[in-house]
Amino acid sequence: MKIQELFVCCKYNRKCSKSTKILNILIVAILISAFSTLVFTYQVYDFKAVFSYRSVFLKGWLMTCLLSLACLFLSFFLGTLAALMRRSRVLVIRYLSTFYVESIRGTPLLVQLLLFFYVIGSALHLESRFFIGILSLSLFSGAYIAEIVRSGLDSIRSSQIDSAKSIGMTSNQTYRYVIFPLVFRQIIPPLAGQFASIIKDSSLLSIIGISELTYSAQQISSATYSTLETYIPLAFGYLILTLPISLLSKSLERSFRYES
Amino acid sequence: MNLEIQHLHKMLESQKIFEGISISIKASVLALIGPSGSGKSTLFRLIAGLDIPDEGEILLEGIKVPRKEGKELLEYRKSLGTVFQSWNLFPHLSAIENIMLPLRVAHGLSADEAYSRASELLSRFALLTHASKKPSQLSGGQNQRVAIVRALAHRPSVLLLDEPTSALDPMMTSEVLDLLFELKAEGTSFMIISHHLPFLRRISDQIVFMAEGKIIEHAPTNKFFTNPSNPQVKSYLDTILKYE
Repeated sequence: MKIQELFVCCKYNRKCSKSTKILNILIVAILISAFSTLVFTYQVYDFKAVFSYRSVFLKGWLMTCLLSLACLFLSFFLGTLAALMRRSRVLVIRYLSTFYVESIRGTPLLVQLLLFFYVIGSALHLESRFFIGILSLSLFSGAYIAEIVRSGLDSIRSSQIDSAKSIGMTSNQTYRYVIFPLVFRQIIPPLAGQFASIIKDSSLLSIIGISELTYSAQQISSATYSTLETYIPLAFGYLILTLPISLLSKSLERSFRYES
Repeated sequence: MNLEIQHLHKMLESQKIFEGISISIKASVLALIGPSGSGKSTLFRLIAGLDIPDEGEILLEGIKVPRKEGKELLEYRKSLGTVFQSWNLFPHLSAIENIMLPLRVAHGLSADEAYSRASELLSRFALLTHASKKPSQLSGGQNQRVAIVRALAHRPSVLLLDEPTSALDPMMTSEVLDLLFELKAEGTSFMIISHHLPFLRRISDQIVFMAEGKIIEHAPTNKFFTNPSNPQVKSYLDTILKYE
């Protein structure tokens, strides 16, 4: 066995033996721990102070879950609506949707939050930070979901529409029984990815003072003068939510693939 | 079936496909043949009510095909059974669900009625073992047979088939052709587009030959094959039947 084979997978099927895998995972683990040791030993740590704030942390985490869940539903609704509007034969409706999608996708979420909170929010007398937060994050994510749904709708072949027509289905029935179920199967994987994005992007809502996970961590940090002790758990607080979604989306991708 | 076409005009993407074709046919099995690009499929879509002619009328079984989208056209489509070249079954539904969906949604049958009718038909055509399989788990021939069953399930007055065997290998083609012979024996009348001339010679009683958007010849099957009057038809038959 050549030394090279210990570190490289097969050229043709990209596979390698289990022991080779373990060896390489170990190497990566050593590299990461070496780097961590370097960072961790830079100063002295005191997790005790931070630990006494665990209920604040947990509350923030639950708030992040709640915000993300609310945004998931609202942005799915907005995205689907925008995608359908983009197919409308009424040009005003179509252009409105295009304007929405392109302007949201073309600007940073942070800028949108500032605009929503300080400009649009105050003009419309929207008081609740929570409400503005959910609305702006949903509008942001909705623009991306609109593109996901649009590509899903585009992937429906005209032969399926012909088939539904020939059966005597009305256009509403065609959407309900044929187009939506097919589109939904297509878009579940990218939609799961978008949900993970919502969770991560919700951290930006800390900027307008919503006490979600990142905001809570900042509060704890300034109360205890700690950095790593709060920010490492903060990162894990997000990973716990996003990793399962990422794994789920990969397995869904596999299970729906055979149908198309 | 009784098909009448009067002064039919149709343009597709600013190209004139039909400029005033007319014909009147009585047949139990009508075959529509001709080279690719002759307008067969366009005519098929107009007769099936999937597209609307620019001018002229189509009468099937004495009923005028409605000229605009709406309830009447929907009812017209429901009175037919349409089968496509690549079967167009819904990929997210199993074989039996594909048959039940139109019965329930378009024809207002209850779930139980739809189920019993669908399973009865599937077992009659030896497809019951595949009832719960999705189209992706079935062969092309099985899919096309399921599609034919779907087209038959609501007991349409006429069946329309657009090249039902063109996407199939010879074994699967035979499966589907056997089924069509069974249907003919039961007295189902249908219109079929196909390039499979020996089969059409046996199954059809009237043949329409089209080329370049015109109806070149219309004759009883026997006469069409033994004594075609048009030189274009002669050369078409000679070419296609050369290796049969």
